[in-house]
Formats: sequence, structure tokens, C-alpha cells
Amino acid sequence: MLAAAGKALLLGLATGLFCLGTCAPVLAPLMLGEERKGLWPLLLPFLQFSLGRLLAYAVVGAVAGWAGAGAAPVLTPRRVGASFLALAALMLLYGLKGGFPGWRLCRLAAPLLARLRAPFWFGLLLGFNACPPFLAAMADVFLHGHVAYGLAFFLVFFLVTTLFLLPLVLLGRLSRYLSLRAVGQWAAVIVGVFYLLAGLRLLIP
Amino acid sequence: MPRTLICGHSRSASIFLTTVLFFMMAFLLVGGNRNNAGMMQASLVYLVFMTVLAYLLFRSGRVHRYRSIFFSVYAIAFVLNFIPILLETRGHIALTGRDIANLDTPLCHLTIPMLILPGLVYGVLIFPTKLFANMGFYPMLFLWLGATVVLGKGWCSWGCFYGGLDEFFSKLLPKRIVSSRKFNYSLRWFPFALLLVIVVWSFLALDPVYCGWLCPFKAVTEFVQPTNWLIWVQTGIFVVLFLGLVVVLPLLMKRRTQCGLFCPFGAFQSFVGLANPYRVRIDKEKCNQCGACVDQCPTFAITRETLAKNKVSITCARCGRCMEICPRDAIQFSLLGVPLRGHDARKPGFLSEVFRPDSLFTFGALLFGAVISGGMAAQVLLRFVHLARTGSFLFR
Repeated sequence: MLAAAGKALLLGLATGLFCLGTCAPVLAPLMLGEERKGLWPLLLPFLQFSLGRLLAYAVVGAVAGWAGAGAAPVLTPRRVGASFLALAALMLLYGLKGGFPGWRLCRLAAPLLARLRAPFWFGLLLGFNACPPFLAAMADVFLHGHVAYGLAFFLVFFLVTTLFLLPLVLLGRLSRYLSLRAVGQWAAVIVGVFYLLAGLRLLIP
Repeated sequence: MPRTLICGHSRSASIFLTTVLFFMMAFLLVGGNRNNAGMMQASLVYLVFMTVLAYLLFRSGRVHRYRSIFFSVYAIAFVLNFIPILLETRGHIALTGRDIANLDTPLCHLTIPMLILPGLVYGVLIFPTKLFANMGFYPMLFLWLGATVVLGKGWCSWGCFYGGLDEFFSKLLPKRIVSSRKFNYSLRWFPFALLLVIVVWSFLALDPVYCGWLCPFKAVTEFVQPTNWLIWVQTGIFVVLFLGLVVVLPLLMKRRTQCGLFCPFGAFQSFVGLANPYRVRIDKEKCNQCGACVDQCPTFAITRETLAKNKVSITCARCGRCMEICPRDAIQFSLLGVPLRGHDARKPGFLSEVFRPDSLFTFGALLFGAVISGGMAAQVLLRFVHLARTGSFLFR
């Protein structure tokens, strides 16, 4: 387990900037898009997002270890594509509820997203994103073929990469400006369209 | 609409400013073409055109009207010159794999925000261009730095060779067909969101993604040769964005929709342009909140909310339209740090007229605009002469 933790620590430190680049397009609009006053409202969406990511990483780590022991493939294009489509739908709703508050769908979206704990789902669905550092982690776990090794590796990998995402919490401080909230909401729409196309590309052979 | 109180310059101040500008433009435009008689004559024609425009601008105070003529001519000259140059030097417009491998792609300013992060972090230039050739990396970087110092965000109304196309189409119809009364002004923050996304995305992909997927101006400059369905989709996006944002919406709304609602470089320039000391300010003692400027601002930079605070938004492109239509002369160019009372446009005296903030800004902007547009405009003039003589728009 110590070997897993050591490797995950090094991989996380080496590729953390890339993780920041991958998660920032989703996390930044989330932090900017709504007014957040006080420390708790600032931290809560980040914690929910991180919890979602942690769950996804734990699932992938455990399944990759299990798959390495001789079972099924983990992240098929169809599964990743489906998670991208779900993420796209959430992000589009999140962005449009602010951009076009007069639309009926957008009026309905706001309470729905609040009830769903949207940041958690953003983190969970993005957590299945097979970005290069994530693939490197999966390859290592797959080669070892132990569920416990996979869980330990991805837990440490999650903790280290989360350090790189922490500065994004500060973006929430800027959400008191109406203009920056609008920027966050429109960014959510653009990123939503990007994941929609990426998801369709994975699903359509 | 009530009669407006545009504040022009006296005849003597206008002649003085125009004469100084004439000699500076002559030195920079004509001086560099002493060895080429054709270019020298064409530059002289353009010099006369710019001088007449400058005099009319200073004398009448109608910054927007005369800038708009210059800006449209400049953008059309750019397109009419750019495509023939590609045909003359490469033999084709569409980029082939070989052109990209040979770094034979001219760089434009729109790429600059995408190049910064990969350049700083990895030390690489993620655009297939030469470093020092015409419209290569360093010439474009210096052009942009110069523009930012002289014009700031005013680049979008005086220096950008694409913006004039929006401007041109927004002026074609006499009346607005689509009213912007119910317009969703939060859309004006879309370019900032797009900027954020393309900067991060380009950094991750190490590819200038805006150029590959979203640039409307690829439709009238150069684009990757379609060899598979994906490139056809990209080309289709360029054409749809160009027709929608640069032609149809400006025609219908009489506003610069591409510049105000889409261009991520404009958003970037809103930030870096703060380095320039000129601002557009609203005099709260004169303004009666009539909202004429809100309805007319071409780049959606004034809203009811900003007007209530007597401010224009960071996206103001210094085009001068609000100053022209304000019925109480409440909007003017100002110099940072000087209170509005300190530069009253109606203050008598030759020197106070010459050193008014609007005189200084428009003088610098016209000089900069004339210098960067001069070569293109002169070449296009020569091309028309060539067309009349030989029936071809290409020189060879």
C-alpha cells in the first residue's frame, strides 16, 4: 500500500496542473455562477464537488484493480460518453438558469439543481473523465490487479490533485460581482456544449 | 430624437491638428515607399483620403461617423488584399497539411490570449507560424502591444481589421429591423466566458482551438482544406458564425454583434486595455438618463444599470457613437485622473482645444490606424488599377 501511495503522490504532483486544467472549466463556472457570501457557502460547493470526484475515483480505482485481476474493462467509450452527456445536461441547465431566467425551463431548473446538490454530480460525472493523468493512474492500478491497491492509489491521487484545485475556491469570492456571475454562467453553457459534443462523439461509432 | 450637441473643434484647431497629422502620416505612409512609384502614388491617394476624414472628424466632432468610414474601408481593404496575397504566394486559399508543416500560416491578433499560457508554462508557440515573417509571431505581438498602449480597448474600433466588417454591415440599412428593447444584456459577458474556456482548452490541447473551431473570420480569410467530414463541420461553423454574427445580425440590429457578443479577443482587450489612460465618461450633472446611448451603443457597453451609475462598461470600444447621439453632450473622452470639469469640451482657447482628451485620443488613433491600414489600402488601390488594365486582381 505504501508503494501505491508513493506512486500516486508523485503522479499527482507531476500532473496536478493538468488536473487543474481539466477540472477548472467545470469548477470555475460553478464557483463563479452564484453569489456566495461567507466561508461555508464558499466551501460547500467545493466539498460537494470533491465528494463526487472522490466517489468516482474510488469506483474507478476499485474496478480497475478488479479488472486487472482478470475481469471486465472499466471505462468503455459508451460509459464515458454517457457520463459526458449527463454532465453536459447539468451544465447547460446550470448556465441557462442564470442566462435566461425568464425561460420556463430555466425557472424550473434552479430549484431542481439546488435539490440535486449539483456540484456533487458535476464532480462525480467529471470524475469519470479519462484525462491523461487519470489514464496513467488507471494503467498502474490495472497492472497490479488488486482492488485494495486501486483504492489506495486513487485515494492518494485524489487528495494530491485536490490541492491543485483548492485555489479555485477563491473564485467564489468574486461571485459577488453580477458581471462575473454572468461570465460563470455563460462559461457553464459553453463547457456544457463542449461535453455534449464530446459525449456524442464517444457514443456514435 | 432630440437635436444633439456635438462639440467639434474651431477651424484653426482643426487645421492645426490635421496638418500635424498629415505630416506624420506622410512620413510613415509615403516615406517607406520611395523605391516603389506605384505604391507611393497609391499611398498618396490614401493619405489624402485620411487627411480629409481627419479634418472632417476634428471640425465636426462626429468621431463615430468618420471613424466608421475609415474602419469599414480598412476592413474591406484587408479582406480584398489578404486573399489575393495568399493566391499569389501559395497558389491557394485553403491551408494544406504542407502549409501547416512549413509554418506558412499568418498569425492574427485573435490568437494572442491562447498563446500566453502554453508559452509561459512550456515555452512553446502553439500556432503554426514563423516567428519573424510578415504577420508572424513577433510582428503581430509588437503591433498588438503598440495598439494596446495607444488605443487600449479602442483597438476594437480603430485597429482591428475584422471589426470593420461588423461595422460595415451594421451601417448598410437605414433603419433597425430587430429592436433591442427586450435584449438580454447578460449576453455581453459571453465573450469573457468564451475567453476563459478557450484559454484553458488551448492550454490543455496545446492547440489554438478558437482558430480551429470558432473563428467567424476564417470564412473570409483562410481555413483548413476540407479533406474529411470533421473539417467540413469546422468550415460550416465558420461560415454560419460569419453570416450570423458579422452579416445578418448587424444588418438587422444595426449593432456590432460579433464584436460585442462573441469576440474573446475583445474581452481580453477589455482587461489589458485598462493600461491605456483614455476613458469614456458620463457627466452625471448633464446626463438626464434618457437612455439614447443604451439603445445605440454598437457593442452593448452601456445598459440602464451602468447608465444609472453614470458609467460605461469595461467593454466600451471607444467608437464615439454615444457622444454623437447624446442630446445633452454628457458623454466624452476623458483622461484618467483628470476630473471631468478639467477638460470641458467647450472651454475656449486654441491650446485647450488642441489638448482636449478627445483630440489627443483621436489623433493617436487616426495615426495608428492610418499606419497599419496604409499598406493594405494602397495595395488594394493598385489591384483595382491592375484589374482595369489587365482584367486580373492578382499581380502575378
